[in-house]
Amino acid sequence: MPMPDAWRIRSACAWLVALALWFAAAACSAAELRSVGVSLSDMGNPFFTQIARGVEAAARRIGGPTVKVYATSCAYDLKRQIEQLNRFIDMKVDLIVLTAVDPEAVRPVIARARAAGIRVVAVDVVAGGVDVTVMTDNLEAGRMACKVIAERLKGQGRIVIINGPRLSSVTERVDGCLQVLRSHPGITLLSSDRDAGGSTPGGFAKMTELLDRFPAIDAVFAINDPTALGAERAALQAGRRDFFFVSVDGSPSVVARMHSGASLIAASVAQRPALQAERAVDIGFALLGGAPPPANPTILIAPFIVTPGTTKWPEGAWR
Amino acid sequence: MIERLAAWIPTSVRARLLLSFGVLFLSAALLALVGWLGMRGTGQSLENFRTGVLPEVAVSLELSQRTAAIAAIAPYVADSTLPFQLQSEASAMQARMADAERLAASLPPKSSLARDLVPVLAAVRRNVEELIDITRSDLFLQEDLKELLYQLDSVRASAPAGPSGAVARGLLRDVESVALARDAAALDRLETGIVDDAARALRGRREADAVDTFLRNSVVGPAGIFVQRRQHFVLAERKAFLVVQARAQADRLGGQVERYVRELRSQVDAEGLVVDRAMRSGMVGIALIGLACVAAALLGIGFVNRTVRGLGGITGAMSRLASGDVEQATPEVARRDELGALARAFEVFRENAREMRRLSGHLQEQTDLLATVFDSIRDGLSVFDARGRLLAWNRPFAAILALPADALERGMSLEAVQALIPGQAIDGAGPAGALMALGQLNSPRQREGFRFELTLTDGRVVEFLSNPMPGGGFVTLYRDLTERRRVEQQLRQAQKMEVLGQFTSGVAHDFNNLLAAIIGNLHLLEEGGQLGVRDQRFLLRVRKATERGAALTARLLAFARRQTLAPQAVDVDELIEDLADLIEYSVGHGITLELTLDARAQRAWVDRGQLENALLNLVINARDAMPGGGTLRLQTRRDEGGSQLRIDVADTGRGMEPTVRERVFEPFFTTKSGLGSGLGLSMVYGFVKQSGGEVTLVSEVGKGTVFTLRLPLADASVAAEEKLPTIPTDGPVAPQSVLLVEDDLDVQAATADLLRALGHGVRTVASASEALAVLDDTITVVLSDVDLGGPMNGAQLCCEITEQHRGVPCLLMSGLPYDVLSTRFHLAEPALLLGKPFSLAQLDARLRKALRHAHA
Repeated sequence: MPMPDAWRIRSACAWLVALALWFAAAACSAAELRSVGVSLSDMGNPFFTQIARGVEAAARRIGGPTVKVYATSCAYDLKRQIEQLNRFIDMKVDLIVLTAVDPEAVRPVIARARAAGIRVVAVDVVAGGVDVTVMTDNLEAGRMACKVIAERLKGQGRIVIINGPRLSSVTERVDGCLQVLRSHPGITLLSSDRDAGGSTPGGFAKMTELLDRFPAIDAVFAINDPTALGAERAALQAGRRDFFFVSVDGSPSVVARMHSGASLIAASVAQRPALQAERAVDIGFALLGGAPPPANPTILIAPFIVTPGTTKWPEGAWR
Repeated sequence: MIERLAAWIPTSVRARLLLSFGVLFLSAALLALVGWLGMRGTGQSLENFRTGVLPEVAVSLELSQRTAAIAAIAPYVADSTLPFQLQSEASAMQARMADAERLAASLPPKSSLARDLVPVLAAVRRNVEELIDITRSDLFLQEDLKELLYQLDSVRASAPAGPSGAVARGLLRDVESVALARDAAALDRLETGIVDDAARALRGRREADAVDTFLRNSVVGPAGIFVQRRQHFVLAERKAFLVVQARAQADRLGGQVERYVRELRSQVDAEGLVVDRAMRSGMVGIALIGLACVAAALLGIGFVNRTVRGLGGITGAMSRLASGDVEQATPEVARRDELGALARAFEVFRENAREMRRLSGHLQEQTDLLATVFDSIRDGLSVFDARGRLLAWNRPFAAILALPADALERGMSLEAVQALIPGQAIDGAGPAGALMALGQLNSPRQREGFRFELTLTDGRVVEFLSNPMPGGGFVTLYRDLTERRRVEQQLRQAQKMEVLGQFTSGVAHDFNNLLAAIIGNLHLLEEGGQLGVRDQRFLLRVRKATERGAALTARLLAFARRQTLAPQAVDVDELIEDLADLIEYSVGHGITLELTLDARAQRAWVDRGQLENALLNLVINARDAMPGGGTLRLQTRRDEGGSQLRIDVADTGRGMEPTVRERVFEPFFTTKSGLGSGLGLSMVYGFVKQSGGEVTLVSEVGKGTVFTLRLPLADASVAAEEKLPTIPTDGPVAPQSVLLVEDDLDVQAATADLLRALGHGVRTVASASEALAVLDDTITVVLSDVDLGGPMNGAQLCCEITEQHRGVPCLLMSGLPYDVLSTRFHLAEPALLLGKPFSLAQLDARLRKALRHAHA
C-alpha cells in the first residue's frame, strides 16, 4: 500500500529514535560476534559483492579482525541456497545474512537456523520467517524512476519496461513505476512482461526483441543496471538512439557509463548496498545481544537518483 | 404378347399408379442399397486412412520435428552462463521432451514406429537430463570460482602493504590467472609453478594469516582452484559430447520416421487399389439399375400423362364452371375408371350450379335494388338491432343529423350515436305539445312506430320516422324539414301581405271615388267665381286636405302594387349620384355617406320617380336607425346571377329584433311612435314587387341593417330613357257630345259638371245596358267608369262600342291602376284610361288623347 511521503518521513524519524535507544540497550549486553554466513543470489552481480563487502566490513568493525565471514553465492538456485544455509547451521555461525531465491521455500530452513540460536537477516529481498529484513524502498525506487521518465517525456510517449525475476524487489519496482504511469494517461505502455533475468545478456536479448517488435519507443525502464547496460548495447547495435533508459541500482559501472557522455542511460535510482549490509549486521548483532526485535521487522533504505550531473553522494552510497 | 401384357395391367387409376410407384420404389431401393454398400466400403477405407494412417504420419513428422528442436536447443543449454538462462533453456527443452513423449504415446502401440521409438526417446531423455545436470554443475562451479575470486580479493586487501606482502600479492595474482586458463594443458603448466610457490610460501611462515589460510584451502586443498578448473574442463567435454549426441539421435529418429512414412504410403496405395476395384463394380451395378429405373419412370410418366390429360379436361370444365360457364359439355364421361366417375359426379354438380346461379342472380338483383334505394334516397336512414346497436346507415343520415361522418361505426350503441347529435329535445311523440328527451324513446322504439321532430342546435328541424322491424330492432327515416318550415313561413308572410294589399286596394278605390266627387265639385265651386274671400280660404283648406287624401291613397295603392308605374331604363348609378345632395341633406350631420357605385352602366327597368322615392324612404329609415351618427353606405352592383341589379342600403345603427324584422314591410307598422306614417317601407316593398324585383333585409341588433333591392335589368336594346309623350296643349278642343257612364251618382254629377265646364254636351247614364240603349250618332265620345256594378263592365262596354260604332272613342276612368284593370277587365289600351281622382286639366288632356287616337 502506498503511503504518503509526510507519513513516511515521520515514521522514519520515529524509527531512527527507536533504533538509537535500541542500540544503546544492545550495547549493554555482552554478546560476541564470531562468524557470519552470507548467502547471496549471484556473485557475478557487483551489487551482491558490494553487499558481501559491506557485511564483512561491519562484522570486522563489531567483532574485530578474527570474525569469520563466509560469503557464498547460490546462482539463484534454491537447492544450492538451502545447502549453503544448512552448512551455515552446521558451522554454528552467529548470524546469517541472505538474499533469498524464493521467500517461501526457504522458510523451513530459516526456522531451523533460528531454532539453533542463529539470527537471520534478509537483505535486498524479503524472506519468510527472518528476524529482520533490510532492503531498498523498491516501490519508491520504481516511482522515482518512472517520474523521471514522465517528466522527461512531458507526459506524452510510448515506453517499455524490461522486467526481471519474480522477486519482491523487482515486482515492487515495476508496481511503483506502474503507479506513476497510471496518473499519466498520455503515456502508452507498450510492454512490461519481458523477463531479462536481471542480467546484461538478458537485457541485450530482450531489448533486441523489443526493438524488433516496436519501431517507435520513447523511453525504457530497466529494473536494474545490468539489464540497462545490456539493453543499451542492443540499442546501439540496432543503431537506435531515439530513446533513453532509466534503471535502478546506481552501480559504479552505470555511473561510469553515464559520465562517458555517449550513454543512452539518463538516470539510475541508486540503492545503497553497503548501507543495507551494515544495517543488517548491526541489527543482527543487537538481536544477538538480547535486544527486543524492532516493532517493524522491515527496514526500508531510501533510494536516490543518480544522473550524469550528480555530484553529491549521500552516506552509504555505492561508489 | 403386348395385348396379353395390357390385359394383365389393371384398369383403375389407383392400381396403375400404385404399380408404377412400386416399380420405381423397388428400383430406387436397389439403387440406394448398391450405392450405400459402395459408399460404406469407401467410407471404411477413408476412415481407416483418416484414423490410422494420417495421424500416424502427422505424429511421426511432428515427433521428428520436436527431436530436431531438442537437438537445436541443446547447444544453448550447454552454453548457458547465467542461472536464469539455464533455467529458461532447460525448461524449454524439457517442454519439448514432454511433447515428444506425449506424441510417441499417442502412436498406435502396434505400429513399427512406436516399437522403434521407445529406445530412441529414452536415450534422448537421458541425454537431455544429463546435459541439464552437467550444465548446472558447471554453472555452480563457475559460481564457486566467483566466491573463490571474491575471497582472493579480500585476502589481497588484507595482505600487508609494501615489500613484505609483495610475494603474497604476486602469488595471489598468479592464482587469479588460473581462473583464466583456457585448457587443461595451460592449467598443468600453471599448477606446477604455483603449487611449488605456495608450498614454499607456507613453509616460510610461522603464524597463519589470511593469505595462508586462503592458499591452504583454495590453492593446494582438495577444493582448490585447480581441482575446480579441471572439473570444469571435464564437464565442458561432456557437454560437447552430449550436444553432438543429441544431434545424432535427432538424425536417427528422422531417418526412422521417413522409413515409416514410406511404409505407410505403400500400404495406402494398396488399399486404394482395392477401393478402386470395388467402386468400379458398384458403378456398373448402379448404371444397370439406373436404366431399369428410367424405364419404369418413362412408363409411369406415359400413364400419368394420359390420366392427367383426362383430369385436365375435367379440371378445365370445372374452372369454366367456376368462372360461370354452365352450358359446356362434360368430357371423359364414358371412361370406366375413377375419372369417369368424377366426370359423372361433375355433371350432377353442374346442374346444381345452374340452379344456384339462377337463385343468386335473382338475389343479387334484389340486393342491388335495395342498396340503390338505400343510398339514393335523400332522407337519412338508420337500422339498429334489438340490442340498440347500429347495423346500417346511409350517407344522408350523418349529414342530416350533423354527425361527423367518421365517428359512426358498425355496432355503436344507440346512446353513443345520440350523444353525438347536437340537440336532444323532441316534439311530436309525447302528449300534445310536450317536449321530450330523445333518449326517453329508445326502448319504446323497439316495440312501436313513432313520428317526432328534433330541433338541432343549429336551428334545423329533423323529422324522425321510427318503425320496429319484425325480427327485432327498428328502422328510422330522417327528413330535414328545415326548408319546408321556411317555405311555409314565407308563404304565410306572402299571404298576409297579399290580404293586406287587397284590403288596402279596396279602401283606396273607394277613397278615390269619393275624392273624385269632392275634387270635381271643388273645381266647379272655384270655376263659379261667386265665393267671397273667406269662402275661398275655406275652399283652399278643403282642397289641400283633399290633395293629402289623394296622396295617401296613392301610397296605399303603391303598397298594394296598384299604383300606376311608368318603367323605363334607368341608369341607377347616375340616379344615385344625382340624388346624393338630397340624401346628404336628408341624413344631416353626424352620418357619413359612402357611395360604392359599381353597376357599370347597367340599367334597371323601373319607374324612375318611384325608385327615387323608395331610396329616399330607405335613407330616412337608415338615418332614424342611427340617432347617434354612423355610416350610411349605398352600394350598387350587378347581382351574382347577372339578371338583376342590386342596390344595398346599409347603416351602422341599432339593428332590429327578429319580431320587428318580420313586420317592417306591413303598412302602418312603425317603431317611430307617432312620427312615421308606417307606410314608407311598405311602399318600397310594393314598388319593388310591382317592378318585378325583390327586397330583402339583413339586420343584427347592435350592428346595423342592410336593405337590398334587386331590380330587373333593362333590355339592352332600350337605349335611352323614353320621354313620355307630352300632351299637346294646342287650342281648345271642339265641343263634343259626351255619353258619361257612371254608377256612382255623386261622381256622375261632378264629372258631368266638369265636362260641361269644358264646354261639352253631356248625357248621363248609370249602367252599360242604358249606355248601349241611348248610344246614337249624336254621341261623339263615350266616358265610362270601369267598374259599373252591372253584368257588363266599362271595358266590355268600350269593346262593344268600338265594334258597333267605329270611330266613337271610348275613354275609361277608374280609381284602380291600369295593370290591375288590365288583368281584371282585360283592358287593351292604357292611353284611354283616366285615373280617378282627376283634375279638369287631366280630364281635358285625356279627352283630347282619346279623340286623337280615334281619328288616327
